[in-house]
Amino acid sequence: MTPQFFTVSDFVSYINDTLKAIWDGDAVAIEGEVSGFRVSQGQWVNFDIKDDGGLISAFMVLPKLRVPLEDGMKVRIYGTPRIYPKYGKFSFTVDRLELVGEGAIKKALAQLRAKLDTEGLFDPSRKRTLPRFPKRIALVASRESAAYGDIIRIINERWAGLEIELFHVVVQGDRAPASIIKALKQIQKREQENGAGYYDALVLTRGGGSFDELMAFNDEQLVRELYASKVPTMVAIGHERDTTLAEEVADVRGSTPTDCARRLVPDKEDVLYELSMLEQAIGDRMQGIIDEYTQVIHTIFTNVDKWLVTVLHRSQELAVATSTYAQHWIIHLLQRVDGYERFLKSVDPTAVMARGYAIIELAKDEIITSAKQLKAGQHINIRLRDGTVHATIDGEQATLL
Amino acid sequence: MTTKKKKTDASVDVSKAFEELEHIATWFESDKTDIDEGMAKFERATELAKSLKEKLTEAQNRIQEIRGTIIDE
Repeated sequence: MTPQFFTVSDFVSYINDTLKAIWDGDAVAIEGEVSGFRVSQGQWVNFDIKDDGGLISAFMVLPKLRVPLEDGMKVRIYGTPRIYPKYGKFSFTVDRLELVGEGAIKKALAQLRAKLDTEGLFDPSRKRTLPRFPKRIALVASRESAAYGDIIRIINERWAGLEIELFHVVVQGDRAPASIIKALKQIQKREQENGAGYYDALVLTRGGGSFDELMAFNDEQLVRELYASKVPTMVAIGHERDTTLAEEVADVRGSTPTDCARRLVPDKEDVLYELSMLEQAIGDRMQGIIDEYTQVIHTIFTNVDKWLVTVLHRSQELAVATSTYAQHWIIHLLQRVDGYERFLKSVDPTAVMARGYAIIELAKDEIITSAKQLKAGQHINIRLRDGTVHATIDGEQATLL
Repeated sequence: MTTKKKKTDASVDVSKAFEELEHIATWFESDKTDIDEGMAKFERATELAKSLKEKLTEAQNRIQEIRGTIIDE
């Protein structure tokens, strides 16, 4: 019988195929302690997994490592055992790694929280506020959850008319982070397509659960997606103890789905009360303004009245004074006329002639004022009160009278 | 009914009338002896004085009347 033989390459392939056939990488895991953990070239992860009686080399790509890892941590690894053909080295290619034991998980979580905090993901100064009256929100929740029902019911009780787009996700278990991350990415895409402000808020919620059940909300990539969201975020998870990283990175944190609804929309009763108060305040203010202007107008009219009275009074005074001056002036003028009249009386030549005196003229403009001016034979005019007679001098008189 | 308006009332120019009277007064105060001219000037001055007196009296009455309306208000 000719002995069967394999080439080395065929043997390695045969063993690897056999291992692949007998090992269910999704359902079965190897549990052990990590040692010799290292990351090379920023993309390859190598470590050993061991217990008291054995040791296996493990290899994985960095993106698949979702938890902080260090030597001594107890882990479960899912994946495929195989011989690396070129060197004949047996190793386990890891698809998924999960921490075992609350202590290890909490330690890893503390490390992740510290790292993200250093990066500034929880910085209070970058927290955005939600609009008081949102019109549309993206709700990331499981449609089967009580939290979803509660949030819808309470929102409708408080403030009807809010448009809610539900992004149904798995909120618990291994598939939860990927499911939620996918929804978050869809929301960012829709926000981008419809223009900034399409969503007023992104709400991620689920009901309370145990520490393990809530682990999806501590997923690093999920937390980074929330951090990068263009839409203001609110995360509300019903529990009382430890806060998840998703809540810490959110702009607003609601303690329970009920509290989340309360923070998201105002109560219409409160708004109505506020409006009635505002209405009252506006009414009071308007009345105040009307009263103020009424007073101003009243003051103006009063002042105008006063001014008119003053002006009238002044014009009356001036008119009276002017008429007094005019009277004095006329009297003065009349006195001047009287003066002339008296003067005229004094120079009136007819007044003298009325008393029997006559004016004797030798010729025009030559009045005789002396007997010596006259000689016998001269013709003279004798002017009397009522006429003039012509006469001739017939003799001379030596003496007057 | 027609009202016969005195010519002097409307036509007399008070300031010119005063000026003329002043002029006539000066003539009489000079040594002029022309009796006819003197008579004519005297008559003119008498007429002027009369017109002035009428005009001024009328003005005085008007002022009194206006003053009455101001004070009544």
